[in-house]
Amino acid sequence: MLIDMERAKTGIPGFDKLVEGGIPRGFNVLITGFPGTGKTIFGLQYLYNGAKQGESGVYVSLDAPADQLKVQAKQFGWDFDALEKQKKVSFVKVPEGSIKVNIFSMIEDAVEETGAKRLVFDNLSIFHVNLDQFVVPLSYKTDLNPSITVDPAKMKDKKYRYEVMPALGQDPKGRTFYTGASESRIIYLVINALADLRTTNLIITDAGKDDQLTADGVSEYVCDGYVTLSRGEIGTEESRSIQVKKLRNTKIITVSHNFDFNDNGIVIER
Amino acid sequence: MALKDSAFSWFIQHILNPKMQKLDSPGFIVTVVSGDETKSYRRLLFLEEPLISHIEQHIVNKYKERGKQALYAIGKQFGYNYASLSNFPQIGGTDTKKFLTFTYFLTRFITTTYASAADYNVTLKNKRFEIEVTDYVVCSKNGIGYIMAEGGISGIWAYMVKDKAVEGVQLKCQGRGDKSCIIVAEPDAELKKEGITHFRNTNITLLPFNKKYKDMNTVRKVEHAKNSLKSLLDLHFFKYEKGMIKYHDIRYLMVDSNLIYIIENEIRKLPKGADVLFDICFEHGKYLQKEYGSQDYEKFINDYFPSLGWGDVFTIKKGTNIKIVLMYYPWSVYSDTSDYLIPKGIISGFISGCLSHEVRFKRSSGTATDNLTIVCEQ
Repeated sequence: MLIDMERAKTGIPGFDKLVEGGIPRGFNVLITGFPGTGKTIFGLQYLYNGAKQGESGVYVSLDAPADQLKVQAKQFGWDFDALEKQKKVSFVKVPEGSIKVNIFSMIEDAVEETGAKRLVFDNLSIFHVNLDQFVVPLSYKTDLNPSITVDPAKMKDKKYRYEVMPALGQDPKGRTFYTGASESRIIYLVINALADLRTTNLIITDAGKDDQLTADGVSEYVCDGYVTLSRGEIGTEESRSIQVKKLRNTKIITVSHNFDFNDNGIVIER
Repeated sequence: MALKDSAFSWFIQHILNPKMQKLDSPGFIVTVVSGDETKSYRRLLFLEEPLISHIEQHIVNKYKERGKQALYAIGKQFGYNYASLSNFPQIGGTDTKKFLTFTYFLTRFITTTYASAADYNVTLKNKRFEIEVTDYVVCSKNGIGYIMAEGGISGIWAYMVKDKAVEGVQLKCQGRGDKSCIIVAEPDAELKKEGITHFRNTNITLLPFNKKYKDMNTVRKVEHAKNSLKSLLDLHFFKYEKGMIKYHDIRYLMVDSNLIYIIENEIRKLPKGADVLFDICFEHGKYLQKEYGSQDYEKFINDYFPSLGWGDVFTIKKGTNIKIVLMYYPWSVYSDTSDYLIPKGIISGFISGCLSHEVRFKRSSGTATDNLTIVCEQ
């Protein structure tokens, strides 16, 4: 017997019916595919549609600058500048050239500021490329590190919260940090940290080589669901497809479906 | 019976075929061979149905009765080897009930893979097998069907009843205006008694499935091809319908890769047969280019042929000089003497269609170390 759950409608034409009407609230869903398959646009469309339904969202970009994403969105008529001004969407971007960034504090702040119900994390594979750039919360204990005195006056300074404190091994919520760990451990911690936000999350990652679903080989087991985007060619003929391969507590339609882009974004064919 | 039949067909399409065939390696389509201690794979190809019907039509037009005989010989050789390599039961080697059950299963398999509805009748005393099918591949299109219908079915039955004197004949044909196709396979002497005119071919060679075959045809990771048949099915380029693949309204038949060697061997025996076969395949290549409308032959060749099991197929271009390379090409005992007329002809025709002038890759060299690689040149 399937449990009746509250679901976040993606609003992407043809997708919600594949997942019983939407993604269960609070779930982490992996969006995988090779570069150029449409993962980022899928994430942007999810957030845009959410904002239109009155649900704020956060787009975390570990790679592309927010301006670039907004330009991509504009081709479909999605005005993220306007949504940002209305605090319906917030873009979180890792400052260029920084190391040991407390990305999770940045994300938490953005979720709190916007009251976000949705989040897109783009791209988990960046950890694969640059593990040292980020610090990841290991635990969620609220005890403070006794050897460090937290200066409350400095807590308003984001640079202090995101960069200085992590360098000292501390964060505002008293969590200890874990850097230089194995990639699979980092991935596991990242996904758990995102689940903690209580938003409904799309986590974008690159597809793996050969038979591996993801480049990291771990995230598909940790997430609540995963969706694969594919693209192929025969000569100059191109085809794109999307397949929902797993989604807990949901009667999914697992058959792959073709999709295409129109003026309004992704449309999944019957 | 109808419910059981449809359940069986569903089982073959959705459970057995997917388990039996491995479609996810670019360049390779293989089927698992049962009966071995370790898993072994046989190379398969998906051939365009029009290729078979073009070959049949042209050979019959040019060589008349002699051509029909050659096509029948191809089919019987193919069917006999197919049954042998697939470990079909043989009469006397298994109990009658199991034999008959298998025959039922085989008929369902044939109709699921190569046709729509079917009915059959077996008279073991006379070693007679009769099958009625509708929409049977190839012959329903061109009314000929010597390879897949008469020859193929007689070869399978000849193996199963351990009698190379079993021959097949098509009594009715959908392509010729009948409601369905009816094929009978029984010993030559019985057909004579019934006054049925038929072809004869007892010259059957059993093709080995030995260590060399397995080593040469092992599935490998390819360097150039990106598409597997599975990936193209998932992307809905190819549609899977009733056990057959379709792309742009062209049906594709799943066959053992030995068939292309058997076809070449038999047709080369005919006067100027090699040239004729090359020309038929050349025209088929041009037909494909027209159907698919692709102008970028380099890309199309690398995207299309590997997905159908031809190996890693790609072009090397230096100025106007073009070479076609087929790495991990399906190997057979006939590889040493083959001239690879079918792939050379098809690819020549396709490229000619793209370039709007003729290029004929008539020269080829093959190297067979741990795999078979063919290089084709003009």
